[in-house]
Amino acid sequence: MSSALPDNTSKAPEKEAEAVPENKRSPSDFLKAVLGRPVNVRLNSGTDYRGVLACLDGYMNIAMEQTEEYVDGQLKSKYGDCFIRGNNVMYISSQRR
Amino acid sequence: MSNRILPLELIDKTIGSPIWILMRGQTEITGILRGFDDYVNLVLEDAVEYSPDPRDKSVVVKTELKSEILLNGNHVAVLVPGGTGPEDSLASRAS
Amino acid sequence: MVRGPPSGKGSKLLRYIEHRLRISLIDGRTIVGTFLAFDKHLNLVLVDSEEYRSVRSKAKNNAGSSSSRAAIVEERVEKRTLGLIILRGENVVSVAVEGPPPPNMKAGASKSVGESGGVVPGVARGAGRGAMPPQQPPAAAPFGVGAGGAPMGLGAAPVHGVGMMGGMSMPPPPGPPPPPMMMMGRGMPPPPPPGMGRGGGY
Repeated sequence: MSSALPDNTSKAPEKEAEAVPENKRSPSDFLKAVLGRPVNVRLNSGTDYRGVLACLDGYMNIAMEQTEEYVDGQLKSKYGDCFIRGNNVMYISSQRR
Repeated sequence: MSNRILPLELIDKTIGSPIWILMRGQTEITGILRGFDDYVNLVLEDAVEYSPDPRDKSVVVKTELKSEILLNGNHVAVLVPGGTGPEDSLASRAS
Repeated sequence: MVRGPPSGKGSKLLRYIEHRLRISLIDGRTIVGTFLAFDKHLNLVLVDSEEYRSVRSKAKNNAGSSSSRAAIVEERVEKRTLGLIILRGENVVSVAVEGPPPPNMKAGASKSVGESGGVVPGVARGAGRGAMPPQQPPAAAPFGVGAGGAPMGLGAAPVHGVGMMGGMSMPPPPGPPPPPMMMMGRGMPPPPPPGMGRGGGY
């Protein structure tokens, strides 16, 4: 049993090193990095949504969890899950605070 | 003709440098350009946002986002390579 | 990612390279600048550009007029110097020729570009841009003509989209060539280029 563990010893293929030139970071790199992390989504209206980025698509449609909605900087409400249509998104920023 | 430098090439050459983005409307954003795609979605580092105060639209509020942002290219109107924002001395004001 | 500049309408625009252009944008701004380059989306590169926008502000006229009920709304034009810019074609409403190439264009291009580029060490190397090697006539991608080019009207740049989702980077706007009235994009439909392929019975 313990003699041969070919499967376990062969490591899962390493994550392919991103073939991105050092200081470049494309939008999709950013999105990959930020998936599942806390973000701040700013809409064109000035409203902010802060929460965990659950998923998104190429239109920047966004699903978030544990979302707080800030209108003019004031916390207005909270949503467990929340969906934002991409056309409203001005930017997504990774939250470090 | 000087058409050899295409607009997007110029943006590409700005990667790693400051850039100043004028959005449609009044919002403006500066930061270090990290990357972009064909839609001119932009990744900016150390982004700073200048947007009108919701209470008094004639006042511009400066917000340091202190993080990397992905700016939706949809609402970008003008890109100023090297621009460091409305406070830039180059952006001389005159009325 | 971006194909060469357009030919069809491009040749019309090419005439105005190095001219001063006045461009109005959909949000009401006007940009005046020296036209250096463009692409099929009508993204423009301008140098020595200036932005004009009219700002409506309630004049705080405390001197006596505070009693007057009529709100004094002051409309003034705010001008800013932007220098070297890229203007996104999507935002262009109209383009007008403001004037001929500024006299310093040929000789002083490096100077004027350097002025704006000076802020950006990384970009300043565009200095010689005023005097580029002549360009071979652009071949493919007829501008605004359905055939080979990407579908586009005037300035219909690829809109929203982020190359993502399982490596399936968003393709440029969907495949079928645009309908014959593709010139409807934004104001100023140009005269149809000769031989514009009208599919079917349009």
